[in-house]
Amino acid sequence: MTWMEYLVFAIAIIVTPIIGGFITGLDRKVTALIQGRYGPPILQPFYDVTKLLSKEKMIVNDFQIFAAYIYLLSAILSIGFFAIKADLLMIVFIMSIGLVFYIVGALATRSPYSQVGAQRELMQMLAYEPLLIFVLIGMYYVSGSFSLKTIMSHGRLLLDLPLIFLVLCLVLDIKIKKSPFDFSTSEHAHQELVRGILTDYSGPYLALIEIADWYELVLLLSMIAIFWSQNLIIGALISLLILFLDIIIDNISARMTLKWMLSFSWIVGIVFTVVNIGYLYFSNVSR
Amino acid sequence: MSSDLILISIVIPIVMSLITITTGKSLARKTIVSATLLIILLSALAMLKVVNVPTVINTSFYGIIDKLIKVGDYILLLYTLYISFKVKEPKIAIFAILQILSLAFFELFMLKEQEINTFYIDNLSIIMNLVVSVVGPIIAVYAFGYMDHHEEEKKLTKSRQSRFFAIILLFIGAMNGIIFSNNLMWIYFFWEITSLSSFLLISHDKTEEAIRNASRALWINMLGGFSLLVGIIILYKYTGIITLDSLLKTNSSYILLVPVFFMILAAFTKSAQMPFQSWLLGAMVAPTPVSALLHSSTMVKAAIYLILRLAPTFRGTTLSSFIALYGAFTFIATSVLALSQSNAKKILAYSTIANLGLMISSIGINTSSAITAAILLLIFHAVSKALLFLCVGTIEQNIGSRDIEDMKGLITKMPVTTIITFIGILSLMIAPFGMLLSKWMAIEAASKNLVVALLLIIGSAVTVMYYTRWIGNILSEGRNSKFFVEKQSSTIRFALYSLVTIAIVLSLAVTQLFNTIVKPEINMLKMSVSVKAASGYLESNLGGFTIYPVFFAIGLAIILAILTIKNSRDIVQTTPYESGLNYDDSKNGYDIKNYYLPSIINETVMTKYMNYISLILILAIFGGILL
Amino acid sequence: MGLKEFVKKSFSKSPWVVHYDCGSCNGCDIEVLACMTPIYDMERFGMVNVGNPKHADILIVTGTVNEKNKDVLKNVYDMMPQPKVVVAAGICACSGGIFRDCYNVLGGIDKVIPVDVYIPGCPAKPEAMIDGLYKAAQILKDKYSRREVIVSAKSLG
Repeated sequence: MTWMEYLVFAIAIIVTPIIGGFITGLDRKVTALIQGRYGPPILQPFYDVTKLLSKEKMIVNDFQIFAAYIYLLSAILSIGFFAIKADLLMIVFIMSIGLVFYIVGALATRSPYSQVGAQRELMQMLAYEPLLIFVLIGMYYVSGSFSLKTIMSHGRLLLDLPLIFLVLCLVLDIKIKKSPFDFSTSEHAHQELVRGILTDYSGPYLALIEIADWYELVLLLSMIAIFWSQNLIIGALISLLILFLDIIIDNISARMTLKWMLSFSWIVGIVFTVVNIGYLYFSNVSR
Repeated sequence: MSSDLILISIVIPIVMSLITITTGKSLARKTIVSATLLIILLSALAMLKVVNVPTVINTSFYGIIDKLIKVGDYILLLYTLYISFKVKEPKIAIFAILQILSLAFFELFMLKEQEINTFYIDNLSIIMNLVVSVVGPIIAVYAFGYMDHHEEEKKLTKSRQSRFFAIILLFIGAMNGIIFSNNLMWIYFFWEITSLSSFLLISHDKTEEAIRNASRALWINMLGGFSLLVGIIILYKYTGIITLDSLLKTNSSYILLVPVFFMILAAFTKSAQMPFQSWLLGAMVAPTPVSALLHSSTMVKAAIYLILRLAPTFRGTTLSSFIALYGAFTFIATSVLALSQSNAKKILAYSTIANLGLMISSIGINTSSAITAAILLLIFHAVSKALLFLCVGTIEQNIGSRDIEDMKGLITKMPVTTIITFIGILSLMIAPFGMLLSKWMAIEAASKNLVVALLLIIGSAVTVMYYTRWIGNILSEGRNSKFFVEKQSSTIRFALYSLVTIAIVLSLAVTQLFNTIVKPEINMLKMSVSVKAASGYLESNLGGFTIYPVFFAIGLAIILAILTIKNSRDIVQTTPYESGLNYDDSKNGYDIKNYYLPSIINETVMTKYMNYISLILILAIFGGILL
Repeated sequence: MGLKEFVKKSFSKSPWVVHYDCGSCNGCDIEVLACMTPIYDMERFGMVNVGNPKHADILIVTGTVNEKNKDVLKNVYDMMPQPKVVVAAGICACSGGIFRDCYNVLGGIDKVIPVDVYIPGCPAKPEAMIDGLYKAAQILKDKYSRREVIVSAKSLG
């Protein structure tokens, strides 16, 4: 890697949590406005994380510390690699390291809530991870490579891959755990299992997981943004629009069941991917 | 010199096995076996340095060995007939008789004497030899301690270990025979020896269940052997080829595809692909070293070796794409079936079959990066799966159960073994270890073929699921447990530590591994090398994977976590949140089991449907020859 | 402002609340839940009702304490990481209320855990509760600053 790439890597790592925090704060403000109340200030997530970082360290199990650090470090690495335009499939696999440790960190405590939450998170991962790689296969089909550089130089992905764009939006909805997909853990005051997978994390380690969630949010929004890579400003606006749609869906729907989520996401994912790529194959779009 | 090394690696284990079977005393037996294993290991390492590949090697012993093998074939088949009467399994007898008749017909009426090179070596043979000669002795050393304890548990008065180790040595010799032989009839002979040793080892405990499962293994493998023989006969009848080097030199033409199909069918039976998977699952009743050596690291890899050898003959045909589809289907079907299991050895068995399906699928795709992926998968899977089987064996001897639900809280009872099992499972499914790297390469290579890619992707997501819940079980910990180094017998400790070190070192050194051994092999198969590897960065024309930053991140997390734990003055230990009532584990505890999805995945029902689909796919492969 | 000031401010700007019903008639609990509705909206102060003491800073308790639930209350209190604040909502939690002379009632919750803010009322009004919670957030910030002072005094000698 050249020194320019190191610089881009470092800047991306430092700037992303700030962007992620602002987007989360906007999320809560917009939710509150939809519900007809004032809601917290936009800087609220930063206050939350700072407070959590300064609380007493309280753990159940030494392994939780390790799991929280790896979740954060793998999220940081995947954003960094995304910024230097590396291979997308590698980025997805690096994200899955963090996810596995996040789940194992909760399974390693003997609490009923975190164990059931972790099992549910496993099923959620089973639902969205194949879909994410299907999106990458669609991008490969159109541009001939998995590397982000080539994909971005191809441009106009939204016009060639509209159904795959919808699959990616479904992945975003499942990953940021908004209704109807908030089984394992959910936003404040919607809990079903006492915060589910996050029940036994507290203090600084909860803050690390929160920051890692910001990194992943920005990563997924950027993946949506590259669908219009000629003009990244419009791409960013598209991704924020999709987030706004997700907030609206969150406020109007209830939590569904795991079986519904699994069957819905797989059927939508497989059918949309096959139809979209089949259409491209038969109309011979060049790649 | 090279021919001597090869002869040593094949003949000495076979000879020493005959000596071992007569040795009664434990110490003498252990010395003889260790000496033999050391010789095998040293000859493998020497071959790495000495032999210039690719090459064919002649020896003056060819005539003698050929005659011995011809006679040995009939002795082997007659012994198999005898076994079928003893265990009352007629299917074995059917296939044995079919093989005897075909063999006699072939040798008396068709085969003509020719000038034949004895051994054919290239980088693939060296790779397989290293796998067998490094992983094999480690497992055999583990078996020293394991079998002592095993026989103590069963309260055997007369030790049967001499028979056990004799057959293991015979097996290692036969594997080397398959890897190095040039004459296809020799490969057939050694193939049948491995089937027979598999039967003898699975039925080692001589219980009713063991003998039943061993007979099933034997008849399915005999079916494979018959298919291999039919393939060789058809090949000889239409082209006059009986050796590997002439097979690889001919232009791949239509006529080759029919015998190649039969040989690949033999490989499918030996690697327990669907619908033949029942023998491998039943073979898990064998003692753990047998499962580790035969049924995950070496014997089933012989099948992959055969398909890799035949890969140039079917490159670019419809047969190849159907093989890719079949392998991908096995991958996803057995991964889904593994989700429903809670028996640790069965999970590992289904996972082995799934990974073999992944390798077969990559070979079916038959591009340069796909074959690279298959070879790398072979190496990494052999090491990691052997490590996991040995860990499960150790755990089973300690807690008396194979069920992963009983392994809850294992880190408090057996910390070292738990951490080694943890690293072993991680090395099978997580970046940046070698298995995931090869899986990444396989998915990228498969992405042209949409259906294969879809199946591989869903299968790998399911893989992560069934391993993660196992890791969660073994690491779950109560309060206030301290880390201690548990008591382990020295052979078990040596085997586990060496395998985990090899797994980590190989994953770190994957680029050097690629450049020294795998790239020359791809060159030799006359394919353009499309993968470039340099200092931790593996790059193909579709994308690149860099492993050093990820290892660095994991190392950084470990260091940060250890530093935080060491400064543990300000860390407060507490119990999990149970709504304020603190349940005591012993008194009024609760138990949470993992999701096994019995309503969706019913093993018997699903196996039946998957078997039908796989049979249809095999017929489609055969039909693919005509297209 | 400096980093230390920002950290102290974030304690008062982000107090997370866990609500525990000790032996209440549920009147005060309904009022606690009403605080989260759009009319009273406690989230504009950053207060969130997390259901888990491990994530929370403020423990708001309603109802009286008796033999059975005093251990549970103590466990929930112990499971909160420092710094923490306890708020007694409703007169039953403050002193036992109208149930004070029953045979099973031990009294208000300050018999079991130290209380920082008392909110009387039967039921306590949501406006009073938000006022009490706001005061609790300021106490939280003071506790954090004092703990810093204590810790740095310890390390000096």
